[in-house]
Amino acid sequence: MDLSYTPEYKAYRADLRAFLEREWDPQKARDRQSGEAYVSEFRRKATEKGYLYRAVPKRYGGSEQPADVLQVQIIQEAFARARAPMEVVGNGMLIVVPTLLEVGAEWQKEMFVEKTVLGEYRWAQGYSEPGSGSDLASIKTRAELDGDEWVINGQKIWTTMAHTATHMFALCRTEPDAPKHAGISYMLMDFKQPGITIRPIKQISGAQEFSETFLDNARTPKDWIVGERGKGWAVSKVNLKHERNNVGSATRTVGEFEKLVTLAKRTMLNGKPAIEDPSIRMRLVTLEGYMQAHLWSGYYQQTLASRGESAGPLGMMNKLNMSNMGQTIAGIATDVLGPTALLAPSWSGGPMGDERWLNQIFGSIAMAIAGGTSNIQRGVIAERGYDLPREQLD
Amino acid sequence: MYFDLTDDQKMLRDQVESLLADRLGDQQVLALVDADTSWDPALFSALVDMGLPAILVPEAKGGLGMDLLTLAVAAEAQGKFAAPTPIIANALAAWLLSHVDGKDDDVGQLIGGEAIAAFAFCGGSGWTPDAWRLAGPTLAGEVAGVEWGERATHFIVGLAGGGLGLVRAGAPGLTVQPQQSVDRTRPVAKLVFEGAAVEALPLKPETIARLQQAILVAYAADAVGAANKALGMAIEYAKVRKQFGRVIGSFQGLKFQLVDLAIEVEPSRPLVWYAAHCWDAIPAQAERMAALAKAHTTDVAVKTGRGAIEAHGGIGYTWEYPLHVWLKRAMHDRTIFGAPSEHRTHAAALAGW
Repeated sequence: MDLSYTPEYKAYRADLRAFLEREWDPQKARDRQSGEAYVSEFRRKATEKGYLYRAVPKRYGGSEQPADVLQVQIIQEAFARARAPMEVVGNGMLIVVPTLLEVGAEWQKEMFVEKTVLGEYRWAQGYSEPGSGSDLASIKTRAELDGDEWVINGQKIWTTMAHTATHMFALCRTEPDAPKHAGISYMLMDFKQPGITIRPIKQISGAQEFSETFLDNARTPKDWIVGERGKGWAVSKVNLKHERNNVGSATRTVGEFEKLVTLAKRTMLNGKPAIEDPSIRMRLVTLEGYMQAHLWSGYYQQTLASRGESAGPLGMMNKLNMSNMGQTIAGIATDVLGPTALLAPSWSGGPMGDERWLNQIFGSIAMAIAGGTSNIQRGVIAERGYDLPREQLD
Repeated sequence: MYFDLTDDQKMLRDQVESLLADRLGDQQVLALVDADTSWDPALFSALVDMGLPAILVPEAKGGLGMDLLTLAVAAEAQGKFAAPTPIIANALAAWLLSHVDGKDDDVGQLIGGEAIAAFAFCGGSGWTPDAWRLAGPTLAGEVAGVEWGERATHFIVGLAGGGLGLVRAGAPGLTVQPQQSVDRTRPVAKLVFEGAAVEALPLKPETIARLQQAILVAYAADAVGAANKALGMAIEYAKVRKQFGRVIGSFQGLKFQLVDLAIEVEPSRPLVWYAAHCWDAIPAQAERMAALAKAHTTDVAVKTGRGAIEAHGGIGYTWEYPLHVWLKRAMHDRTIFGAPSEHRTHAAALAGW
């Protein structure tokens, strides 16, 4: 056990902190006119130094750094401390780029990766359908070849950021006669085209982060398939792996816990700070046991990863544990908020007080659904982590 | 940045587990639990020979000069195999007495296994110094929950005011009353003092505080071992037991219950490691993390033991099926030296909440 960094890593961290000190000015990033360009330029410099887009080859606009989980951790901590922006957030960096780098054709990498890294291409995800949620392989959206183009018909749901997307990656059935999993292709398409219309979905929180996407004779070139035709299910697994990794970090939970403690300190409950209420204190400190276990388990997993060793079942538990803690946080926050918990947060971007906690309270339910529901996670842990037999399915 | 055991610690873990696996198969544990006493002198000697009681003692005092994380690794193995020995108490008491001049012989005996240590901390209403009521130079009163009191030669007794004293077995005015214990792998006794002389130990308050923290970490580690064992038994049973024509582990109802136990058990180990590491290297965090770890892992371990029995169905509730041994091990870990609610209250106060 040695929680300090070696001199090499300390030097790396010092360089990084100096870089942030020199190059990152939140004030300039907030400027209405020049803020966006400032952030882009900052990202370019950070990439040049090897802090961002580390897994992306230089020829596609990345920094092509050797895998080093400790460096990644140092970068995440330093950027978070400086409140500096990391990579462009979204499906593009989380899912499309890793998938293309792993299984895409060379021309696809050239065409899509750099533009995605730069934020010019923004990707909508076309996986779930109204009839296909956890049973994703049952999708019905069909693609039929018409000359040099696929003609696509069907409906997708839970499309994130649809109003800003330029492209979509989608699972479509290209081999209607093949068995369920074997008939699917992983397709890319322009999102702004006459065959695609979207309808925003208003969530229980009142916000509209998702849409339904209707594909009516949408078109895409014949070769805009990632991996082989009919092998899209396997390609999407590459994808899900990256999504799970993304939600596995302890940062979000630790951050929410700390905010909750702050809230409980400054919110009055029955005439004194809520944190002095014996029941609230006990629930907070009980939660902290789970939080600390999750946090140090994360460091342990990082050490294992840095040596290329598997964490076994432990590595599969992060999302489920985060979801569970998110629900506990929501419960405590609700009680601490008192009458404020009766108020809905503004979803038009107006100023907000503590009713913004309702976003966490509802969002923690979403966390237990998105990217594989908690029950799907339980199935994965049981079957892949502990070798329990699969439920007999069709 | 390296959050893992060292190669030496992994080697020690493997050696201890291999020794315990040889001598403490499930049926052997059950046989010990069924006997009049679970005391197994050969097992105790074997663990002594591996040097476990010497782990924390400085090399200058004849010990190994290793850290609490190493002892925690040994303690987890004790829990995993429900080892019926006071080996961890000897390690902690040897460390404590190594701080007292003139106690080198006692330290040597504890390390060598000729002496057996027991902590007598439960002053009736609690385990912490503010509940200690006995006052020297001669003691009158009772102390409950003294693990292996029936075998101990050296009683480390909590005294009014927060100090510690030493009373040796056989001292006039001390009666040891063995109790019917839930955890038969670590039976407890009641000590009755009627004018027994106590030797006050000249210890700094921070040494006494560190002893208590180390005790909490050791029991937290034991609980992690017990929880893993119970969980493992339930998972393996679910793969072989058939009902409705299939193995029960294929039913989501059971599978998900087992996973809900597992997701709490698995991350508990890194928590204990961190608490131990704080004792070794991050003193400002040590007291709070020891309290959090003891509260969390023993809570999880009891929940796991109960859940594992439920997952087994009727067989799990029988005495002849060994699983109850680990539930009881966890129940003992949970209660002794303070329940989770006490440690959580303390941890909240230490956070300044």
